Amino acid sequence: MPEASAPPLGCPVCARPTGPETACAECGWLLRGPRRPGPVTDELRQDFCERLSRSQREFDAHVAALIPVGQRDVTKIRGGPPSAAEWAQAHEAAVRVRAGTVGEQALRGIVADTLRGLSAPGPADASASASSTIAEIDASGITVTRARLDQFGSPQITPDERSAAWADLLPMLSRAEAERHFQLAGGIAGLDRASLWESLRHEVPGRTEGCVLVVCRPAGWRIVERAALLACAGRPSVRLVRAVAPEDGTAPGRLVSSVATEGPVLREYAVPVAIADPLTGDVRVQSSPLFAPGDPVGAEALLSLRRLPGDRGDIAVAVMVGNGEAPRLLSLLSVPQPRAAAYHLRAMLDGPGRVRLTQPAGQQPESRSWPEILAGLPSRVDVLLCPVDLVCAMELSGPRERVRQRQELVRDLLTLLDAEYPEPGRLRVALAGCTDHVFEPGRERRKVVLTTPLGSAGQALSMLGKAAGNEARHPSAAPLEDLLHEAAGLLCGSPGEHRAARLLLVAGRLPHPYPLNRDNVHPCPLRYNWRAELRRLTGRGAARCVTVADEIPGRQVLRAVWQELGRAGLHQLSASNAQEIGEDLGVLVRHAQRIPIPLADLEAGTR
Amino acid sequence: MTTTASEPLATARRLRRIGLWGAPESGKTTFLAALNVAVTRAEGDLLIYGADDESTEFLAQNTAMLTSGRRFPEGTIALQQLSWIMNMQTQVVEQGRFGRRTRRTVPLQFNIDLLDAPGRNFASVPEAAPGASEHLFGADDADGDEAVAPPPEEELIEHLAGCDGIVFLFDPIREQAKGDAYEYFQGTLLRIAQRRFAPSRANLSRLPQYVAVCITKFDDPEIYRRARLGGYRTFEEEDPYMFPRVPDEAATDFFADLCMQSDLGNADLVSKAIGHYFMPERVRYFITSAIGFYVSKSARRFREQDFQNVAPDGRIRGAIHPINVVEPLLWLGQCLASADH
Repeated sequence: MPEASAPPLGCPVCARPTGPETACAECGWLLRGPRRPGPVTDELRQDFCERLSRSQREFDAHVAALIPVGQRDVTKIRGGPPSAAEWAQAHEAAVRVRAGTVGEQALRGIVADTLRGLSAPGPADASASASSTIAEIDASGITVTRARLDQFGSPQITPDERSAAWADLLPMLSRAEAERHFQLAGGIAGLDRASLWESLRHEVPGRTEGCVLVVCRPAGWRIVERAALLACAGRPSVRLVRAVAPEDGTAPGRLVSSVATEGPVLREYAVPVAIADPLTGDVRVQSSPLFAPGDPVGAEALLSLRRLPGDRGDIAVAVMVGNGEAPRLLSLLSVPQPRAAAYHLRAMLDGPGRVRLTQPAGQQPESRSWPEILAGLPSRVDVLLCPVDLVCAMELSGPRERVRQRQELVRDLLTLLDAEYPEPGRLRVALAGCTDHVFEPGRERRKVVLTTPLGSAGQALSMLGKAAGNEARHPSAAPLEDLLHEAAGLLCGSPGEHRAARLLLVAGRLPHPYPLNRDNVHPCPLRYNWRAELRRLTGRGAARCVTVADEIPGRQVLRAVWQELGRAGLHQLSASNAQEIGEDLGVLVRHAQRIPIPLADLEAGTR
Repeated sequence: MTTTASEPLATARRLRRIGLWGAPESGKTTFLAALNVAVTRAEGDLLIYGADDESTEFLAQNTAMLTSGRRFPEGTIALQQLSWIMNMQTQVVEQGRFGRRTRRTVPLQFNIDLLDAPGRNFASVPEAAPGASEHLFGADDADGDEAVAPPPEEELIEHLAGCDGIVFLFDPIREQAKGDAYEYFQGTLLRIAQRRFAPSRANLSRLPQYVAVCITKFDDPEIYRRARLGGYRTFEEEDPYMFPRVPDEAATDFFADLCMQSDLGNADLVSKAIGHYFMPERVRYFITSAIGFYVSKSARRFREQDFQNVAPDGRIRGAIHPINVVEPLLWLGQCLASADH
């Protein structure tokens, strides 16, 4: 039984002050029964004591049942240990008391919502943010915490000096924790209730003034509940939350700081990524979410990214907080891109305002500012992220050394592409080589173009150079129109398969016309019109055509034909290199078009 | 009234001679080589054969070179006396009794005695032949007793002056590139005139020769294009190949057009000089092509989209279909026969 310095005044079971009533209004103990004739016998006295002891045991068991098992001191129960039935009854009563209370996770969510409702300061004045005060009334006392959001939307908490432990607030409570918990839960039979309630009235309202949220836990603890009610009395804007005891959760008095430092996060965390339109190459920036509000500490996020072929540079990974119009930059790192064409960016949520990139490795602080990085973002790229079909069409007639130079250029390009397109089927290459038309009876309509089927760059490399050259029979024209015709046939299905079509034409002479034109160059005997074939390629086939000419003539009329053939790029053989050709073809990224931020892999999704 | 003579007209008369005249590379040798093919392709009773072994060999070799070898004959590097005999049927108009005019078909046999010469021999100032300087400066001559042969150009001028008819080849492509047609034309013309007019001091106002002016290389895209754009081109419905042609009556104007369009030289003077020196009624223009237009086996007719019959390597691309090669000779023969009659 609890020790008492003074005899209890009132109900012998619950210590409620009594008046003229016959039964205790709180516990129902019969205070004044009808008079009974005869002396008070030992039997009667024993019966009374047994009833009183039983009532006190039941009363205290109900209080003890509200205390978590590990903190419960059953020796404080008057009348001896309760029976199993009494315990069951007490637990049922405790369940009823706890009805409508919130659990640990819900409680953290409510606190997080309160913090989320705070507004972050503007960039001009980081200190000009609103703050909220939250009061936790629990087994430790009253903990008052002021919270505000920093510029990244992360809560920053400040302990309020009004916080106080129960020992300071209610000195009449036991200094022994277990006994104090019993008292807080309602085991106040040995205490001076009037003094107790007066102390609460005196202490609580002032200490909780300005609070927007009052957390009462564990729900059902009598003194705690009374203090919570006092904190909310006359304050309709204050939200009272009654919560269950955190048996394995947040320690008393640490709820707000725990939510503030350990999450869940209040704002969205995202990484700006570039989105390149697979058809047009237009580039836009989109925020790719890493963590959503409510994500717990320890959460991991994964972004599927892609490296543009030919891009070996680092990228700047910015972690932004908030998804509104003015997201805040939380961190900015320079991250090397892996050699793989597709890779992942992995991030770990260490806490509000603390995001750690765990992949790719080798991060360094970024020296440039975010606006500076964004300023370098191209509006479009020639390199499309869809699969590519490339036809390398070569003129195989002419001086042997010149033919070898043409083949070497194609070989260099394919070697580059073989390394940049490691994924099977991502790049398909076909070779086409032509020798001159033979204007002789019976030989004119023979096919003069040899082709290989679309396959890997490695396969094309193995085939390159096996087709021998031939003498040039015409001084000013080669069957480029036949090459275009064959290339159009090879690439005509590419758009339907959502593959980009590309043509590289390496030649020394201009195409034969059809029909005969003013240049009097012999028309193509197979009646291919090179302009019509080019239209087939660039129109319906949407092919990008790059041309390398042995020599680019100075005469404008002839130069114009080469320019028409090489709309996406015209190079002179002696001054060309594979990298530039690849850039013009849109299969390797131009330096000026490299994307300095993560590039979303649309096929895999970004998350 | 048409009757058939039992004896060729020409046999009882002297040999008629027709001279071939043109600047270098105007296609004289090719013209001659194509003649056999043209005669074979021509309808009617036409026959040509060599008057001697050399002419026969020339005809056979160059015809084979054109058709089987698909190559153009080499340019002439020395004077060659070539002669063929051509048999044909032609109509002549005879003056009968009481002034009655009758028309009859006669078998005509005339000799084409052509001198195929290097083009430079027709130049205004002929180039000196190798060894000429030694000759001029009295170099030792081992065979000094022998008669000195006339220089080739003199022989040629003599030949042309003595011809009854002349085939003058005008190469518009060469004229466009070099503009030397008049240069080659006027000197030779003056020498012919000197030889014809000077001995007799005859009061002749014109040279008496019949002249067939052949504008060659009609198959060249540039010439064909000018004919098409100038509205000179026609097609004959009965021609199975539907080859384009320039009618003879439009050829004079077309020639004048070509001369006017030449940026170089004085080609227009050629047509004017012909008009001044020869009798207009004895001059006729022909737009010719020795090899004709290309006909693919699939199309089997002339196609404007692809008609070049000279391959890029300079060889002949397909079958040859001479255009207006035999016709000038037929016209000349007919004119001469009528004159004889």
